[in-house]
Amino acid sequence: MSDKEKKGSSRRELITLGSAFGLMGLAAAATGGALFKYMFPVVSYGTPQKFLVPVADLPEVGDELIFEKQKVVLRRQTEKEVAAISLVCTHLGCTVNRVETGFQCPCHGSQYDSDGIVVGGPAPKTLHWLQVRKVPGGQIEIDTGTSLPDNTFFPVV
Amino acid sequence: MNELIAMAREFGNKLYYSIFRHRFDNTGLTKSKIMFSNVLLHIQPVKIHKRSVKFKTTMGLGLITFYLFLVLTLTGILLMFHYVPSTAIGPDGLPDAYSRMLNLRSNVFWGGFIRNMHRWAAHGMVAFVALHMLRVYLSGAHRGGREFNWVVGCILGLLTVFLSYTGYLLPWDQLAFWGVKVGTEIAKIAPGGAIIRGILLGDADVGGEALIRFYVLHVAVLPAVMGFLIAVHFFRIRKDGGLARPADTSKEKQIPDEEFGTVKNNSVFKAARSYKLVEIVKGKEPKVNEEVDQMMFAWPKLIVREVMVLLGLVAFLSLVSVFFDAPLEGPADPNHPTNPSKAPWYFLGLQELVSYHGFIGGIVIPGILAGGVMVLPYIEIFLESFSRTYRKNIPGVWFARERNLENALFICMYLFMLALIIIGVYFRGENWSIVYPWEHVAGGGH
Amino acid sequence: MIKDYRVMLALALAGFVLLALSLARQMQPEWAKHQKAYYKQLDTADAVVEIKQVNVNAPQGGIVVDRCQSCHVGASNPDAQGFGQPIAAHPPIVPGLEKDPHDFGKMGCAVCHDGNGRALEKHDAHGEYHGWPHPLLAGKTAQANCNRCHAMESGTLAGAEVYEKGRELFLEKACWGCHTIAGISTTSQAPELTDAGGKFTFEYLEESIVEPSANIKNSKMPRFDWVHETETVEALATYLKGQQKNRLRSADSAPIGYQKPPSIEQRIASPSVDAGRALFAGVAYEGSISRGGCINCHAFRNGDGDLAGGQIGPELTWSLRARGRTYIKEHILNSRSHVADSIMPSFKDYNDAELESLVAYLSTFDYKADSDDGAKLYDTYCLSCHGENLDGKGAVSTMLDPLPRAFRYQFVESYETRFKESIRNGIKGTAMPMWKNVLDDKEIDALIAYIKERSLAGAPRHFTRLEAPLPRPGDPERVDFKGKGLELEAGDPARGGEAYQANCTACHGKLGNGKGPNAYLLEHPLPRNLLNKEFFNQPAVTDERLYQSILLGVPGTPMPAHDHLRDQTILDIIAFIRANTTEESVQ
Repeated sequence: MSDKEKKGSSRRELITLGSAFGLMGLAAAATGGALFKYMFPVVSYGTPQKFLVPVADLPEVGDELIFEKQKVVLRRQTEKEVAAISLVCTHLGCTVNRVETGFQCPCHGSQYDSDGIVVGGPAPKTLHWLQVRKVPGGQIEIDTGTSLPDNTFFPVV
Repeated sequence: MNELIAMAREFGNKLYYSIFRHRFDNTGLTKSKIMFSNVLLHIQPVKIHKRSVKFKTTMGLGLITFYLFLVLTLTGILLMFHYVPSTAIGPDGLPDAYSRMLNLRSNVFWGGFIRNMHRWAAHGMVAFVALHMLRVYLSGAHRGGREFNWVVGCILGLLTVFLSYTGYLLPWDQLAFWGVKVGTEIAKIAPGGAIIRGILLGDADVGGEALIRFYVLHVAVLPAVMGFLIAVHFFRIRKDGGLARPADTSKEKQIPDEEFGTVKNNSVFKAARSYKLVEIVKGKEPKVNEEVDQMMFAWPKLIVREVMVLLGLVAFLSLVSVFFDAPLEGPADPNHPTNPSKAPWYFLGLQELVSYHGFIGGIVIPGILAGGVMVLPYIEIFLESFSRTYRKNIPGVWFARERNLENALFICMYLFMLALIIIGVYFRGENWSIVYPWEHVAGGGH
Repeated sequence: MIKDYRVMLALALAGFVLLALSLARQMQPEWAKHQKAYYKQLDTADAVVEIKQVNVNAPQGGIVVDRCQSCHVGASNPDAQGFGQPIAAHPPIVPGLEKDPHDFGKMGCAVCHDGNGRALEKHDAHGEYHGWPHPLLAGKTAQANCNRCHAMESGTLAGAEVYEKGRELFLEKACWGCHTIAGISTTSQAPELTDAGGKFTFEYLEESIVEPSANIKNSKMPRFDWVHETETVEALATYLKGQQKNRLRSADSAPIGYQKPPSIEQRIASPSVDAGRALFAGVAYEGSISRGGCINCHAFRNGDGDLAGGQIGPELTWSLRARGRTYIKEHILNSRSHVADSIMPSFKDYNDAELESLVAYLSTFDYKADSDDGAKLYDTYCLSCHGENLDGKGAVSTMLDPLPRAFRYQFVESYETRFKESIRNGIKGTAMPMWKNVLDDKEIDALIAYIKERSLAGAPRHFTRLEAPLPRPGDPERVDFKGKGLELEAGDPARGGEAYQANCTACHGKLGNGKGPNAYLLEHPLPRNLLNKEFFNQPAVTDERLYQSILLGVPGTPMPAHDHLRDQTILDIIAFIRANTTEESVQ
């Protein structure tokens, strides 16, 4: 066996071995990704993150509807637009009360104006404005897991 | 610029050697270092006999069994994330444990696949333990100082069956419930069996208590004992000098020099040199016998072969798991027995025997078989010690002519159990009557 | 080594491909395809494809998980009306309402339609796999589950018409006579059905109604003549499937969404023929809750001789005249007071007015076969039990116990003398009534002649019954017995009991009720129930007759001769039977 042949055969070996281990690495990566999805929750057994409201049940223009279980206030800005604001305090997660001046947290006294912007107390951020989506069947879907900038309105009609 | 490259190279070298401590070149020294500097590889010797990598020596059966244990441990841990050993009935009328099975099959991504893998690997492990045992006996590898390791292996085999059996109950469906129920009824026949049954079930009958006990046994107690005994099993193989083999003869082909590689003195260990002979052996001279020349480095040949077995096994398990779903029937209902009620397949031979005669079939015959097989090598030693004509210690030889009788008896025993299992699985229908397999109705044995 | 590496590469490739395959199958679940098709059909751009899980809060705590709308995604969208399954809109449940009150977003699908709410593949989700207790209830059969949330013990619920029909049928077809459903009936004749829906699948219930022995081999339930009416069976099965203990409401909670009607706790108070007719037919009489349903099992003839009714129990056209009022009333209240093995349910809750009404209705039957022709008489009065071929296998014979007599030539020749008495006075403790109030002697003679002529025609040989007079205490043993020839003494019931256990139990049973292990293998007729008091206390059943039956056997039946027994033993056995059937003895 000449040196050249030997070198060629060892390169072939290396390529075969490399691709074999490459494939194994790919498989391991795919398995890792799959296991990530295996562990990640896609359904909820508690209060669902998203909930539906029939368009027919929406409040009058300028009026609000409070969903206590889901901790959301739904506000109808105009005939066509609504917004949903989370009632979860951005400080430490208590549920804020709707008051004359806006929102007030009973735990540590954070105060928000009626748009959820902080006006006092320890709260670091504006209340979360939520994603609202029209779904087929004359309903809207509010996703309590989202956090949008304030004054984000969504068309409902 | 050059200086920078040198500095980078130095950094790279330090980084590399802090992790690997060896290069991947073709020298004997490197091949040795790879083996003993890696925690996973150092379980194996640096040098092995060249017949160890031959397919016909072991057929990889023991290794496959071990890999199956690893696969089962991994998938089992994953399944534990989605499982509750509870029989509490929800408002939908389903026991918790069973609802979790439904979740695995539906909303849990890959859940069905992992459960399939676990199920089929469990059945596979029982089968491969049996095959491994058959191989060891037929090649005489239970002799020559390895007698006690055979006993350890037998205990491992029983543990495997028990692990599989405890896991069988966990889905809490009709199949599981009645399979386990029938199994525990068999235990009643044994003297003292009722006590063991009570301790296992924690109640008068299979129920919520039994599920928790089976669960703890299945996920904690038995795997721990098993892991320890596997370590013992492997350790003794090493200490007994690797795989059993007959003495080498000078006629056998010697390994050519190229296999040992050449010395290229470019490692960081500048002073190191490589020798053909890198281990201490018994004897008065450096060259003790020809056996030394039959030895070869474990790296890379053995490791590659082992990886091959692993890949083949994973591929096969994936294939089965993609196309065949693990069985799941309706939720366990103690008021509606399945007909026929069958134990898991590895107990069906026993169930078949019990159907002929409770005590003889359920206790005497299996007792003689299990106990007899476990002390088999000691029976042989006993015969050797007390009879001058009985000299049958021929380790590592397949179907040695001197051992024809023993081998034939052992094979007969296997065929006997196999026939019983096949009858139990395929030829037993409603009310345990004989049916043809194509008239078979569902109801256990899986 | 290159060879090893190549094998390794090939195996790694195989493993990777299979792994990728398993992932690929997971990435394209069935429900995602349906959702995509749905959103495409609706032209919705920003829709999210995800598992739609509904957690139904159960009043007893916990949730019912329902993922059905992952596939049936358009269920509550009226725009999806014309879409194909599984994405179509659900048709309205309550007719005539502008907006259906059922919100699938809150209650899911499986609450009504059963199936497996957690599963996401059709086969699993519809519960089509082995052992799943509640497979899918498609279409209107889902009305069985209205009961889970709405209180439906009485009154009517809009949209549950099949269930309501089923309940009416349960009463009308007299199912309640044998089966208990808590709150509706109390009887122990047949399996309780209070949790029938929880225990059995719809299919099982349907099958058991149509063919009672399909699932329980030795079922005594009759096969009714209306079982071919698919709608009837389906409605009944729907009603029974709705009887479940596992409900999504507590027993005392107010019904959801509708008012319970005022209670109708009235019974028939004054007897009348009309009330009797309603009871007989099983329909409600002027708002009363009294129910009957005789017609499901018993037939009767109108004035023209046309037969109407079920072919399960004996025809009732002449029963009142044959049996008398007292017997009929007692028989309705407790069928086993006169016929030891009757399968007729006991209507023990009837009041006097109801019994009187029934008797009054029975007295309106007055058909009579005006003929002297034996054949015509036989076809009118005897055929339904004794059968066209005189083999005792008439249309209503299967549910009678003891079975009607088969007129085999051996029997007819042996017992010729007994015939007339049996027809005139009936055979007590059996379904054979007294005909002396219905037929005159001339007609009875014609009948006997007809039966003799037919059963003896083609008889292979002449057959004579041996005579064996009853031995008295003090007589010696009979001569052909190879015993000690001792003097006989009076029969002793205790000794007789032992002899009975040794010689008779295989057919007559350990208890003597005629249901020994061999009885099920025997052909027509079955072994005599030796505890039948009515039978053994009639004058025709003398000790001599018992002696002859035991010693010589009963011709034309499976009862063999027992001439291997000593006379003393036979006397003991007779004493044992007599002791069991005195009027005071407890069964």
